[in-house]
Amino acid sequence: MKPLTIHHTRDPNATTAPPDSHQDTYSKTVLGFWIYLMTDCLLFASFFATYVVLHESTASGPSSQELFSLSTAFIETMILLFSSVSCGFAMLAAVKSQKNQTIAWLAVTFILGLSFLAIEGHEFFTLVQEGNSWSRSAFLSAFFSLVGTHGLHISVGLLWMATMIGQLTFSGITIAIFRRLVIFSMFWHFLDLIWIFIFTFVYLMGVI
Amino acid sequence: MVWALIVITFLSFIVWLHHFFTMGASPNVNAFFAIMTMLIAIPTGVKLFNWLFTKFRGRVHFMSPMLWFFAFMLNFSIGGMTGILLSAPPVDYQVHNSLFLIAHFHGMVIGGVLFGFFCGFTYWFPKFTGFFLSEKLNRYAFWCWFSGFLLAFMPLYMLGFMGATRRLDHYEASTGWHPLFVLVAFGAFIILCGVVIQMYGLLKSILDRKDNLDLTGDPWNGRTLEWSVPSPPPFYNFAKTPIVDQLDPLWATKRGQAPPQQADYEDIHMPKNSPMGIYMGIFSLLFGFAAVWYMLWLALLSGVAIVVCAIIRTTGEDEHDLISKEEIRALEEARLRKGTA
Repeated sequence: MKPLTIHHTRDPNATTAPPDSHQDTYSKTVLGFWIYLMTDCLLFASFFATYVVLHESTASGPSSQELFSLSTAFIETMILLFSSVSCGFAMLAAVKSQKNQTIAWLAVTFILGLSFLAIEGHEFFTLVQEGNSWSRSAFLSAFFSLVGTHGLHISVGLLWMATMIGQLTFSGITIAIFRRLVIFSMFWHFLDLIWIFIFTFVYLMGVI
Repeated sequence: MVWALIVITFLSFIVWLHHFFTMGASPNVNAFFAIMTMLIAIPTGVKLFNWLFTKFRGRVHFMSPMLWFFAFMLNFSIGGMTGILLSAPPVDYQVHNSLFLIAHFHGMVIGGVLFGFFCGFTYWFPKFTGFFLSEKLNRYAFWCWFSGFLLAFMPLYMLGFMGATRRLDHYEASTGWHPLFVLVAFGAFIILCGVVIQMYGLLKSILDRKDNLDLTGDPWNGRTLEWSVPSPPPFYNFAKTPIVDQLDPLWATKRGQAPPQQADYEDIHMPKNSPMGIYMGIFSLLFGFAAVWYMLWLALLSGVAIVVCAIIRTTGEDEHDLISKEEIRALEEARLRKGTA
C-alpha cells in the first residue's frame, strides 16, 4: 500500500523543478471547482436574501413559528454534520490508498445523506399536504426555493457518491479518481456549510 | 489602464438605478446612483486617452480594423458624453423616454459595442480561420455603417430635445420633425446597405479563401504572442509554451531586443476531445423545451440523458492524449515549408 503522490511536474526532483503546465491538471481542477463553489455561493446568497426579505410576507397564511419544528431541523443538522465527518474519514482512507475503507466510509456518508433527504422530503410532503405549498405565500415560495435548492444539491451529491463508489469498486484509487474524490468532498462539506446557514437563519431564527 | 478597468468593473455594479430615475425612489437614492454614474466617466476617460495616446506618434495603417476602431472611439465618446448629461436626474426627468435617450444607448450599443466587436472580428479573423476578410468589401461596409449610423442617430438627439418620444405611431406635420425623420430613415437605409455588403463580403471571403490565405500567421506585424503561431493555430496552440519574461516577448524578439525562443520540441499532453458537452447541450435544449410545454415524458427522458452523459464524461479513465515530440516536429516543419513555399 503505497501512499498517493500528486506530481505537479515530470521532474523527479519535485520541489525545485518548475511546474509542468500540461501535466498539472490536479491543481487546475481544484481551482476550477473552487470557482464553481463560489458561483454556487452567489446562488445561495440570492436565495437567502430573498428569504430574509420575504420572511414576513405570509399573506395571512401560517408563519415560520407555526410551521417549523426545531427538533426535526436539529436531527437533520446532526445527520449532515456526521455525514461530513464520515466523508472526511473516507478521504483519510483514500490518502492512505485503503480502497475498502474508502468505499465503506462513502457508503456511510451515502446512507446519512439519504436519511437527511428522506426527512426533508417528509417535511416538504407534510407541508404540501396541509395546504402550505410554495403557492401559499411569498414566504413559503422563498422557503421552498432556498431549502429545495439545497436538497437538490444533496440529491446530486448522492448520485455523484454512487458513481464514485462504482468507480472505486472497479478501478481502485487512481490519480484521476482521487482527484474526483477530493472535489466531491469539497462539494459535500460546502453543502454542510450552507445547511448550517439554513438551520440558523431559517429554522432557528424562524422559531425563536 | 488596469486600474481604470478595475474601477469600471466595480462601479458598473452600482449604477443600475440610473435606468429608473423617474421610478419614484427617494432623492437620496437617485443622488447616489447619479453620482456613481458620473464617477464612472472618469476611468472611462482614462481609457479613451490611453487608446488615443497609444496611436500618438505611432505609424497608423488605415486598414479596416483600424477604421472600425476609430469609429468606435468617436461614437463611444459621443455616447458617453450624452450619457453624462442623462446621469443628472433633473435632466433625465426631461428627456426620459425621448429619442435623446434612444440616440444615447444606440450610440453605446452600436457605436461602442458593435463597432468594437467588428474591429476585433476583422483583426483576428485571419488568426482563427487562416484567411482574410475581403479588405475592399469590408471598407465599403464600414463607410456605409459609419455614415449611416451618424445620419440615423445624430438627428435623434435633436428630435429628442424637440420633444419626440420613442415608439410614436404618428406625429403632426406642425411639429416640424418630418425632415429630420426622413434623414433618419435614409441613414437606416445606408446601414442596411452596410449589413448587406458585410454579409456578402463574409460569404465571398469564405468562397475565395484559397486566394486570401494568411500564410505567415502574422499579417499585421503584431505585438502579442498569438501572432507567433500559424493561422489557424495548430490544435496544441504553441509547440513550445513561450516564456513570458516581459510585456511583449514577440515584439522584443522582432526588434532584436530578445533572442528568439528555442524550439526544442517536447511531448505535449492534451485533454482528450469529448463529444459529451455537445450531447448535453442538445439534451438540455430538449429538457428546457419539455419543461416549458409540460411534456413530462420528454423532460424525464432528456433529464436522464443529461445525467448519463455527465457520468460518462466524469468517470472516464484516460482523459489525456500525448502528442509526441516527433509528431510535433513533423507538423511544425511541414508548416515552415508551406510558409516559405
